[in-house]
Amino acid sequence: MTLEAVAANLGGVALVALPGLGLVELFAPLRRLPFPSRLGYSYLLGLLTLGGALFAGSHLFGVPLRRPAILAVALVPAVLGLIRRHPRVHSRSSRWQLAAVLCIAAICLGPLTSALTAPLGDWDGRMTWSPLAAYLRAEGTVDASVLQEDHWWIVHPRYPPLLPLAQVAVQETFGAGEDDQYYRALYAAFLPALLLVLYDGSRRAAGTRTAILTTSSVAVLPFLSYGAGGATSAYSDLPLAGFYGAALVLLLLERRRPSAGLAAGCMLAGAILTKNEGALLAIAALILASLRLDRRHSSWFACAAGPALAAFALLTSWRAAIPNRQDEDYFAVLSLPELLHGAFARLPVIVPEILRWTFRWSSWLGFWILFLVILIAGWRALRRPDARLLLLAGLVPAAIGWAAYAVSTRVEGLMGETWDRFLLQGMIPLAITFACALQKILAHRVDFAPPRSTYE
Amino acid sequence: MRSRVIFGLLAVYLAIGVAVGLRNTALRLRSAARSAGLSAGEMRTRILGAEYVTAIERLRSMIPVDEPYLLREMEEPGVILWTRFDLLPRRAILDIEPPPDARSACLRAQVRWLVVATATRQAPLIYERPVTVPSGCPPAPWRRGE
Repeated sequence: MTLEAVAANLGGVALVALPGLGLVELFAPLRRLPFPSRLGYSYLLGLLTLGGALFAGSHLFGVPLRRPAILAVALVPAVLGLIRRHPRVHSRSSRWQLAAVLCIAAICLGPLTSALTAPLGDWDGRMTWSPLAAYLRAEGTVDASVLQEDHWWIVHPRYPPLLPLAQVAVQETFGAGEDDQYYRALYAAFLPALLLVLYDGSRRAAGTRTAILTTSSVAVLPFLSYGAGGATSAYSDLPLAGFYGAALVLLLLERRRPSAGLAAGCMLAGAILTKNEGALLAIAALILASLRLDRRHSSWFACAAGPALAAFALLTSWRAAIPNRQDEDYFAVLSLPELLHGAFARLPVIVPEILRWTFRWSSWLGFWILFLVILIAGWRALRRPDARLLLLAGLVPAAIGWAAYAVSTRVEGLMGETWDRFLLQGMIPLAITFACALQKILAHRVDFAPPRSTYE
Repeated sequence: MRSRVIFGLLAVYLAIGVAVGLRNTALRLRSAARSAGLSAGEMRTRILGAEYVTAIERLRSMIPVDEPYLLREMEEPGVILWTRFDLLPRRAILDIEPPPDARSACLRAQVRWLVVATATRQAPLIYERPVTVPSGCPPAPWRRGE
C-alpha cells in the first residue's frame, strides 16, 4: 500500500460524496439532517449522480467516459450545493453515544484497510463488475462493442452498470494503471453509508438511543465487512441495500411531500441501476408506499415513481443492443406454475439451507436469533403501520431469493452464494423493525422514550 | 423483568460483536503496517505468488491491449475468470469446440493467441497460433489495419 494509492482511493470516495453533498441541498427532508445522517444519503445520491449522469450522457449523447465529463458531472452539483447551503441542525451527543460512534468507526476501518491493502479477491467482483468497468473504460463508452457483439466472452453482459461506471470514474480521474485498484475504497465506503442511513431511519422510528443500539448491532456483523457482498468486495449488494433502505426510510418514515418523494425516487433509480433485483425491489417499495397514498398526496407518489421509471427506461434502452449470454436469465425461465410448484416441492432442500446460512456464526454472530427474540418480545411494535410495512419490505429480497431457488437448476449452490446477500439487501428495513420492537420493550425506561411519529 | 433479559442479551451480543469487530480491524491494520510502501504489483506478488504474477506480466507484454485471445481452462472450473480478470481490458473469446456458428469460426481462425488457465495461482500458459483468414470470411476487425 503506497501513499499514492491511499490518496487516490480516498479521492475516489470524495469524488462520489461531494456531488452528493451538493445534491442533498435540493431535498428539504435531507438538507436539515445532522451532518452524519446527511453524509449517508449524500454518498448514495452522489453515486447516482456520477454513475447515472455518465450512463445517460454516454448512452444518449455519446459523451466519452473521460476525465473532463467525469469532473464536470462531479463538480457541478458540488458547487451548486455550496451556493445553496442551508442552516443546519446541530445535535448534542452523550458520552456513551460518542463511544458507540467511535466503536463503529473503528469497525468500519477494518474493511477499508483490507480493501486498500489486498488485491480484489472476490468471485463476482472479478467475474462481473470489475471486468465490465474495465471494458467500459477501455472503450470510453457505456455502449461498448464488447457487450454488443456476442462472440466476446462476457459474464452477465446486461447487468446494470451504475457501480462499474462509478469505478470507471475513479480509475479514470486518478489515472489508474493496470494493477491499480483505486476503486476499492469506493465500495468499502458503502458500509458507513448504509449504517448512517440505518441510524437515521431507526432514529425516526424508535428514537436516538434505540437507533444507536440498532446501528451498533448491525455494524458488528462480519458479513457486512468481510463477506462476499460486503465492504471489502466489489459486489453490488451493499450499495443496493443502501439505495433500497434509503428509499424506504424516505417513503415510509418521512412526511408525504413532493421533495421527499423525489429523493426517494432517486434512491429507487439508484437501486434499479445497481443490480437486477433493484427493479423488483423498487416495484415492491412503490407498492408498499402506495398504501400511504391518498388524493392529497398524489404528487408525492408521482415524484417517487418518476425517477424510477426514467432509470428503468434508460436501462432498458441500453440493454436492447446487448445480446444476452452467460447469464441465468431467471425472468425468461420463470413461469407461475413452475414457480409455485418449485417453491413448495423444494421446501425440504430450501429450508435447511436457509437456516444453515442465516444462523451461521462466522457471518452473522447470532444476530438473526437476537432479531427474532426481540421481534417476538416486542411484537406490539407491529401494531404501528410503518413497522409492519418495513418488516414486509425487509422480507421482499428474501422472497425474491426464494423464487430464484424455486426455479434454479442448481439450487443448493445458488443458495450458498446468494442467501446471505438477500438478507443484506433487506437489512435496513429489517433493522428498523428491530429498532421499533426494541424500543417497545425498553419503552418504560425513561431514556428510551418513543420519538415523535412522522407517520400521518 | 423481560426488558432486563432482552437488554442483557443485547449487551452480551454487542460485547462479543464489538470485540470481534475490533479484533478484525486490528488484524487488518497489522497486516497493512507490514505492507506499507509496497506497490500494487508487489502486493499482487505477495498474495498471488511470484509464479502467477510473472506469467501474467509475460502474457500482458505479448498480447497487445487491442488484440483478443482465445481462453480455455484445464480441470479447475472457474479459473478462467481469474486469468481473464488479470488480462483486462483485453477481450477474450471462450475456446469451446466446436465453434457455435460459422461467424464465430471465422473470427477464431484470426485470433493469434490461445491462453490456457491452469489452476488457482498457477501460471497460465500461452500459445501463438497460425493466423488465417478462411475463405469466405471477412478480415476480423482487429486485423483490418494489417
